[in-house]
Amino acid sequence: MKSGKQNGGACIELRDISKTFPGGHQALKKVSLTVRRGQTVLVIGPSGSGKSTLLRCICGLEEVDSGSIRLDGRELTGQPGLRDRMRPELGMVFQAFNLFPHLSVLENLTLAPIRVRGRKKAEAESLARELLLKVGLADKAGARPAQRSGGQQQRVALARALAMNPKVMLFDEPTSALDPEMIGEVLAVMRDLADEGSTMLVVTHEIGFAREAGDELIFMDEGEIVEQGRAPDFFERPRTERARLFLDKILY
Amino acid sequence: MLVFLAAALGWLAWRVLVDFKYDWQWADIPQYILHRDSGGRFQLGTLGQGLALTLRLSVWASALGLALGLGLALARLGASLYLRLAARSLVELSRNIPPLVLLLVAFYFFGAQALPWPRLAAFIRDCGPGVQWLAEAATVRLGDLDVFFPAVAALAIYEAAYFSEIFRGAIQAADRGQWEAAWCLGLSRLQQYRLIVLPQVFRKTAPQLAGQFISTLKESSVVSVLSLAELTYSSMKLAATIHHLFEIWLTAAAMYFIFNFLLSLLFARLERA
Ligand SMILES: Nc1ncnc2c1ncn2[C@@H]1O[C@H](COP(=O)(O)OP(=O)(O)OP(=O)(O)O)[C@@H](O)[C@H]1O
Ligand SMILES: [Mg+2]
Repeated sequence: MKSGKQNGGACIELRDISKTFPGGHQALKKVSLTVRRGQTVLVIGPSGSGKSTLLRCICGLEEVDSGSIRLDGRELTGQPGLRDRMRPELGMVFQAFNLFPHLSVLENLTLAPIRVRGRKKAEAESLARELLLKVGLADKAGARPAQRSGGQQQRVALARALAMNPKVMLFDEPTSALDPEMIGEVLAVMRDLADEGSTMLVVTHEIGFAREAGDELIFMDEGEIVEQGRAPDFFERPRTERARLFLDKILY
Repeated sequence: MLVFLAAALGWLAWRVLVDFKYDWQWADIPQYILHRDSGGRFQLGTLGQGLALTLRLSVWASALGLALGLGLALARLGASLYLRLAARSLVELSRNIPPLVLLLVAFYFFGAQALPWPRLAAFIRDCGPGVQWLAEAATVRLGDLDVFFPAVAALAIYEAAYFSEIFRGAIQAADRGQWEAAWCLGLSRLQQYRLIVLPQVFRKTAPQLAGQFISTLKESSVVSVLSLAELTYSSMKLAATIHHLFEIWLTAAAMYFIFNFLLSLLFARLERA
């Protein structure tokens, strides 16, 4: 449990965001949520509850139908230009890694800083090497991503997102595609990030991680935030029937 | 069925080997591919030069066809309805018109009417012998430019239809996660194509593109109707003068075959590397 940094200002503020997919399914129903600077917020919930959709709406991969999304106090909805410029401020880590297979590990990390941020190549590379060191892959800079294990690929993807120095990191089930023995190495890096005071919004199925890594836990079901609070409270004293059902299913 | 096939083959062999009264004269043929001039240097003969021109035609047509094909594929996948329709129309046109007819249209339109080829030739000549030599080495005798480029254009348009289908399929099949990751990192649409998706598409489609290049080499024989001295026309002309029909056409066939076959082996090799 982290302490002493819950007082940061709002980094992401969602107010009543709703999203209905073309098929008619409403994936988000008036969701409101604030992630403060330096805070790690974890999101759990059954499959299809709208967790991925929530992250995708925040980073802009999906458009919301209504509601407001603020990043550092600036409204992003209805502002295509600003939304576009803010894309790199939202570092997304995908379940499937989505590394660029035709580039080396190092190039995966330097591409966007050079092309989007306009960094010098040498500068971008030294930052990239620092980040690789941080995720424990300093010796893999020249390798192709496909030659690495899933756990290593996800750590590269994490470093790639960090290389843009985003205001907030969004994780969509970063360990769900991994073999069990590799989950730990990815979670360890995420834990380090959280301890360093990164702002993170993490969708996860890892209950152990959800229990103790975040400042705040959110339980979603059917497109709504059903419970929100401190993780120990949620796991020991769920207040709603839906949460109890969910916990029964995953804990036993 | 097998018996029938065997009988047919046997009859054919008998026709060719026994019944066939033909005075084979192979000795003259190699000099038409390659010979030594009076100074002892190797020179390409009529057929050798023909193959060289076929190759230049195909390289130009494929290069332009690739670029046009990529443009068509992007237009067909793009947001503009107008561009989508235009690209679709061009692809359908070139897929449903025989290459020979396409060639003649291109020749009478671009060659005879629309573009000032003689002036271009004069311009290149004025640039000096170095430039002229380079231009002729890359294309054809300056006097034939008015045939060469319409021929290249027709072949390029014809091939572009196929290239565009290859590209379109591969772009559509590209992993959605690649687009999304690139998008989230802030890359523009153009950068997403140029830096992420297209490099992967080129890699994945390389075997098909190579195959299409070989098919261009074969297809380029239609250019012979414009009296441009590529391999097929050279063979026709040679056959008309020295009358060794079988030898010449078998040689031409062998030259096409060997060249294309070696090329396909080379491509297969490169692809594995
Ligand atoms: N592109 C889409 N088109 C139509 N419906 C979609 C689309 N994406 C998601 N949905 C639907 O929206 C709902 C929420 O999906 P979402 O992926 O956000 O759930 P999730 O909580 O991330 O689930 P999981 O734990 O399985 O990843 C689901 O019912 C899903 O079928
Ligand atoms: Mg999901």
